[in-house]
This record gives sequence, structure tokens and C-alpha cells, in this order.
Amino acid sequence: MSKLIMTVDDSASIRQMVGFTLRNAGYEVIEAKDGKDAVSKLSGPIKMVITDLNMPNMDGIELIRQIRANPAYKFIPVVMLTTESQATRKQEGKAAGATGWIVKPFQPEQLLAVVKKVLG
Amino acid sequence: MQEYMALAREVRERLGRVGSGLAQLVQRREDDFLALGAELQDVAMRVQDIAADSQQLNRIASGDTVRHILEELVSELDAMQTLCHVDDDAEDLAMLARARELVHELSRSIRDYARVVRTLQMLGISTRIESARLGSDGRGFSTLADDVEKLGYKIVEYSDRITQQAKTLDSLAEKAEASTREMREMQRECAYSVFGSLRENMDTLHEVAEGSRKASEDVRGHTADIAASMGRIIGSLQFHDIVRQQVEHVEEALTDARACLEGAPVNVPANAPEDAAADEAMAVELAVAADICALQEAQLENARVSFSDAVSTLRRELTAIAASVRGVGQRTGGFTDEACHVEDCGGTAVLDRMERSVTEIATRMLSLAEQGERMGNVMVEVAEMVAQMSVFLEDIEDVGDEIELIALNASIRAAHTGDKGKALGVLASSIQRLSQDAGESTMALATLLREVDGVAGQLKSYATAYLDSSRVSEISGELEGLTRGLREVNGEAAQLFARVGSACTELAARVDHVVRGLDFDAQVAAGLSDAAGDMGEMAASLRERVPASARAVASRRLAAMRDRYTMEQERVLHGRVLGGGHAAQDAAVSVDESGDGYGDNVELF
Repeated sequence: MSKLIMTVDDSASIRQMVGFTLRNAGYEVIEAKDGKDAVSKLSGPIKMVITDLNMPNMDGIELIRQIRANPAYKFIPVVMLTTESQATRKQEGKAAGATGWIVKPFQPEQLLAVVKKVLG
Repeated sequence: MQEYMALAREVRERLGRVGSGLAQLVQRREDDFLALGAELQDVAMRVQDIAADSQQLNRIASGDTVRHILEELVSELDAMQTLCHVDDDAEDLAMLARARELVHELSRSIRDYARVVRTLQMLGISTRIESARLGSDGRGFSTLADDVEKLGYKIVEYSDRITQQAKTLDSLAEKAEASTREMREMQRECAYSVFGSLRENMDTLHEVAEGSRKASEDVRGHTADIAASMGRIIGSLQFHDIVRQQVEHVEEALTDARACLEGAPVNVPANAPEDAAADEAMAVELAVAADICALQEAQLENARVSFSDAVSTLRRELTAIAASVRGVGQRTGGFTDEACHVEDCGGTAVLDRMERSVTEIATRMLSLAEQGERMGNVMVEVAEMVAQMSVFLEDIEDVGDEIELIALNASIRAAHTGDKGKALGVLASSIQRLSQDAGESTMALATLLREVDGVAGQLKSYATAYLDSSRVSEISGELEGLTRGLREVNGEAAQLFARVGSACTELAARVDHVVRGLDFDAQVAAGLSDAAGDMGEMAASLRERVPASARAVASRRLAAMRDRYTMEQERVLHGRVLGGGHAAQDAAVSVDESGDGYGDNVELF
């Protein structure tokens, strides 16, 4: 049975590319347009979250905090996918509970390698 | 003061105009990127379908089914060639020739027998004359004369029968020879013409199978190329978001610059008093605006290059995908051959030809079997007739025995008659000599007839072989099965070939169409270029008009701006334009320091 992954980004084209890459590799994908939307959709067998950092309504760091506060998803991998590459922001993400950090643009094989790694 | 105030107003207004145009320049292209993304997903699905069909087709051409058919054909061919074997020794023909030789020798021997008959007739007459001369003493000799005459008649009768039979046999053997030669010609034609053609087709099929294996590798290569292109396209499509963010950051910077210049009053009276401090402050704000403009010129130029590169990559990789798709189409259809490429015969010419060859061979084999049956019947007739001739052997041997008895009888009677029978004694001696001569001729005939009997047996065995069409029927059935198998494979292959061909043509044309429609980058690039030009002009103009002291202060203020960037590239540009040493970090960030092999843009915590 394929695993369900949530992709969160305010850019529809990024959500499309992440979804395309993951679906092609056999994963199921649920999309959210920002952190707030993601929190509202956080239910069911979601095994991983791939989120942008800078988004309206709720950013990626806050989303990670909310996810970690939810007992059902406390331990699921959350990988940041962002244009942000500053070490301080990475540190902030790590402190909030991020599993990894990917700077855009990603290559499909990179994303899939990371997904495979963090999902075991 | 008035000069700086007026300049500030002019710059603020101009920054406002540039900023308002930038906002939608990239953002409104999201639909284009989304449409491209959707197109890409559809292309990827179609490529997967095409690759699967193509590999299936190549599997058919080089796979188990064709391999099985080939093995079966090789084995059937061996069996068929054994059946159609043209024996250079031509034993059956040699045997028929020998039969005819024997018949001719028999005819000659029969002619020798005629001499015995004539002697017997003479002896019969002489015995009858001598018997009459002796009167009552020679009465017993008339019986002897009767016996001699009867024997002569018997020999004549046997000779006639043998001669007649020999003539018929010779004619039959001649017919059998002709049939054998005809059969041999059919076998030769079958072996060299049809089998040759089938072997040629099998060789082609072998080549096709090998070609298909290579084609499979090529298709895998093309599919890998397409996947790699897809990866690069996915990377490029993300540049809408990246460039949009870059432009948003430019907008934010322009807003900041405008805010710095907000202090400039809209209407400054011409006679307003000079305020040195305010003047200096405004000069610094204008210097800051100049630096911001210079910075945004670089950022916009970088955004333009990134956007153009991304769309160029899209164009290039989509073109590469179309070429690879065409490559898949060209490398599919393992059953095609050179002639087929020229004649456009639907990609299954080899199988069509093979099916025709196998059907033709089956027909030829049945025709051979029928001819064999006819041959067998003639051989049986020949063999039976030859066998009948061996019956004459007994008669001939009886003749020899009878002559001997007559000679013995004549000698005894002559002895009984005493001196009067001296002449008869001479006759008895002649009969005895004749007995010896006849014995020799009989022996020669018997030898010939025994050999004829042997030939009959041999010819019968050939006839049995010719008449046995069970193996031919068996092979014909197996060939029919193979033809059916070929037809099924051919049908499946033709269907797949047509599907892959039309799918590749359609998809490549569609991708080409997408590439031709990819022109929005020109408008975006022009907009970014115009904005960058405006920024550059403003920066240059402002720097000319503000004092160096103000510019030094401005540089220090803008150093803090660097921390607001999200992208490394933005920070690098900032460093390059305004100094600060960040450009040196440019090379450092391209190294994958994590060592985890995911790439320099990936870090797992």
C-alpha cells in the first residue's frame, strides 16, 4: 500500500512538481496551500510532510511546531523545502523539529532519496 | 534642499511605477507554468505507456514466444530435410537401374535358351526317325521323343512368359525411374528453394531478435534520457516560484526605498530656507535609494537570467523529450527489416514472410507425400512383378532336372537296344551334353532370377518408406501449429507496432507544439530587463548627484539589508554590488559539505 505524504507550499507550481514527483514514484499526495491549511488537513494516515518555510497565514516553522504538538503526528518526518538557505533559519527549523532541509530547486531524485531515507 | 527634495519626489514616483509593473510580471505566469506542469505529467504518463508497449513489442520479437517458434522450426526443418533428403547415392534409382539390367540380362539368357530349344527339337525329330528305323525295337524311343518335344514346348512357353514379364517389368521400372527422378526433383526444389527461403527468414528472425534486444536497450536509454529531461524540467518549473520570490524581494526593497524618501515634502516653496542638516539627511536617503536601485538592478538582472535559463531549459529538454520519443518509435518494431523500412509495410514483414514460407512448406510436404504415395504404389507393382519372376526360377530348375532325366532315360534305352541302338546312344550322348548346356543356362538364369528376387525385396522396402506419410502428416500438423503461433504473435506485434508508432508520432508532435508555444519568457524577460534598466539609470543618476560622504553612510545602512534575503544567490549579489565579502562564499555553498550524497542543497538533521 502506498504511503501518504502532505506537500505544503503557497506556490501551486511547487505543489504540482512535488506531487508529480512523488506520485510518479508511487506515493499518494495531499496538498495544502499554507501552514494553516495543512493543520486543518492533518488527519488520516499521513506519513510525512514536505513544507515551504515562508507562507502566508502560517509559516513552515509554526506548522512544524503544530505538527509536533499533535500526538498522532509527533514523530512523522517533516522536511522543509524552501528557497531559504540561511544557517540561522535552518537552525530555527531544526529546533522546531524539522527532519531535514531542502533548498529549492530540488531534483526529483534528490527529493525521492530523502523521502525514502526518512520514511525508512 | 530644493534640489534633493525634487529629486526624491522624482525617484519615489519612478520607483512606484517600476514596482507596480513588477508585481504581476512573474505572478501572472503561474498559469502558464501550471499548464506546462500538467502537460508534463500527461507526457510522462504517455511516455510510460509507450515505453511499456515498446518493450512489450521488443520482448515479443526477442522473447520466449519467438525463441520457442525458432527452436521448433529448427527441429522441424531438420526432420523435414531428412524427409526431403536428396540422396546423392540415389540407391532407389540404382536399384531400379539394376532391375532393368537384370531384365535385359534375363532377355539375353532367354535367347540362349532358344538354342537349347532348337537342339531339343532336332533331337526330338532325330529320336523319332531313329525310333521308326528300329521298328519294334525302337518303340520305347517314341516316348522319349515325345518327352523331348514336350520339354521343348515347355521351355518355349516358359521363355515366352519370362520374356513377356520382363518386357512389362522393364516398362514399369522405366516408369518408376521417371517417377523417382520427378520425386527427386521435387525434393531438391523443396530442399533448396523453400527451405532455403525459410532458413533465410529464420536468419532474419534471429537478426530481428538480436536487433530487438539492442532496441530494448536503446528504448531503455531513451526512457532514461526522457526521465533525466523530466528531472531537469521539474527543476526548471520551480523557477517560477524562485523568480517570483526574487521579484517580490525587489518590490519590498523598492517599497523600502520609497519609504526612505517619504520625508521629502510634495511641494517645497522656492524661497524655503536652507537647512544643512536636513539637506545632508536627504542626501543620505538618496544615496541609500541609489544603492538600492543598483542592488535591484543586479537582482532583477539575475532574476531575468534565471527565468530565461529556466524557460530555455524547458524548451531544450522538451525538444530532447520529443527527439527521444521519436527515437523510441524508431527503435520499436523488432519485426521490421530493411525492406520494410523502405516499403513501409507495417513492421511485421518478417513474420508475414515466415508465415507464408511455413504454409508453403506444409503444402509442399503434403504434395511430396502424395508423390511419395504414387511412387510407393509403382514400386510395389514393380516389386510384385519382380517377385513373380522368381516363380519362374522353379520352372527353370525343373527344366534342367527334366533334361537330365531324359538324357539318363535315353542312355538306358540305348544300352537296352544293344548294337541296333548305337545311333540312339549318340542321341543320348547329345541329350546329355544338352543337359549340361541347359544346366549351365538354367544356373545362369536362376542366378539372375535370385538377384531379381533380392531387388524385389529392396524395392518393396523403398515402397514401404515412400508409402509411409504418417511423419509428413505429423510434421504438417506441427507446422500448422507453428503457423498459428506465428499468426498470433504477428497479430499482437502488428497491433503494438501500430499503437507505439502512432503514439510516438502524436506525442512528439504534441511536445513540439508545446515547445513552439513557449514564448512567455520573452515578455517576462523584457519586463525584468526594462525594470533593471530603470534601476540602473536611477542608480547612476542619483550617484552622480549625491556627495560621496552621503554614499559612505548609505553603504553602512544597506549592509543590514543583506540579512533580509532568503536566497543565497541574493546575498551573493548583494555582496558583489555593495561589497561585504559575501561573494567569496559563492563557491563555498556549491560544495556538498554534508557528505550524505543527497546534494549540496539537502541537509538531513
